[in-house]
Amino acid sequence: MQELIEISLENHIDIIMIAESENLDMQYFLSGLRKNGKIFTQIELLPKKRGLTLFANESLEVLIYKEEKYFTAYKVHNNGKKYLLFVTHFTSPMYKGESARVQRANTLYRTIEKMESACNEVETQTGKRKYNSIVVGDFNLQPFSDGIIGIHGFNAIMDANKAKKGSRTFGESNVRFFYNPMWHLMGKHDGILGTYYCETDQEDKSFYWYTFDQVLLRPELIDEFVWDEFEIIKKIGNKTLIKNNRIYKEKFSDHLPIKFKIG
Amino acid sequence: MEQSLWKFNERTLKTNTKELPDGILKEQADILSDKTGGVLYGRTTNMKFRPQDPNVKYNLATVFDVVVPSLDNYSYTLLIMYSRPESDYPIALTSDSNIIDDAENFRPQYECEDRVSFIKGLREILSSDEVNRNIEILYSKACF
Repeated sequence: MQELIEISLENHIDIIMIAESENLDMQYFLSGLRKNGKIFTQIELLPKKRGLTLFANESLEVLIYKEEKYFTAYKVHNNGKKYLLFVTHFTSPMYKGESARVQRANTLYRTIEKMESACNEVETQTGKRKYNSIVVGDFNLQPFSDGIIGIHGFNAIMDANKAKKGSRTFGESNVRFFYNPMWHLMGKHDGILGTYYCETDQEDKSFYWYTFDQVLLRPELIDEFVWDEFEIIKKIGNKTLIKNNRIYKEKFSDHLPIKFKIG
Repeated sequence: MEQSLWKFNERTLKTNTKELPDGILKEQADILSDKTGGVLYGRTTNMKFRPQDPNVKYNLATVFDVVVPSLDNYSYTLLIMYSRPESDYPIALTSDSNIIDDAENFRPQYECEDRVSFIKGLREILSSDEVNRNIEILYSKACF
């Protein structure tokens, strides 16, 4: 818990998104931040009790928009800009095979797309600025999985220039892109190779490192993405989250956190 | 001279579809708005449904959300109705579920072969303690 407070403070985080937070002592966490002059609020209304939690700095306007079992959606307003933030946690590979998880991703994407349309329809009718979406969380799928990069899934691609075109034609429809910056962190020889480590792949592939935790952006946000702030965090203070070239899950978490900044 | 060969007009169309499942859901959405003085309202959204089990015959999901305008249009999914676009019945109802889980393991609380069983299932969901508790929470958050 103390590490969670430290990581938030030393990285100047405004929005903290956590999965599997069931055993988190929320009050201790909020009070620890408050003692350091940071006033955060837990944003929830009718949570589905699956451990997805978001804490926001009071300087930001963060409104809960929809709480579902596999994701929670928030509206974030900052400096006149409007974001629709989806925080997600997909089913673990321990319980579902790749194809089932891909099906879930495809269904989830359709749900998210409907919500984006409904949200922006209201904004358009009232002549207001539109929301742009960010989807972040533990997808339990790799960036090259069908559910993430496939056209029936998130259609989240690695090429920023291509993504800026907005969409691709598929049959008679235009399918909008997401941009996936995680490709630029995966497998770097001088960095951390992923956000999750496992020696027993379900399909006997020798990945070892997985990039299950991702951030996907609608193309309108690509130019707002601050590359210098984008990283997989491997240290908190002088404590390292890596031990013997693996994630030190016995002491911290079995996933490494991602930090990113928009705007 | 223009001659309509259609059997219906707008009035008969509205009257006849009011008793179909979508019309009944829409009516309950309107009643929710009336009963809460517009603080909450119901919204239905249609989505394609792709169940993994080929024996599941439904391929359209109608999501019934409760929307709270004063909470920046926060919405809460009250139930999902599954149907086939080409027929009124049968339909299936799930509550406290989601399309992802339903697509993977379709176990609806109600399967309705006709209007009577649909109304019965819908009544049980809408009058359940959990739904009413959630409505009270949302109303309270919206008003105070």
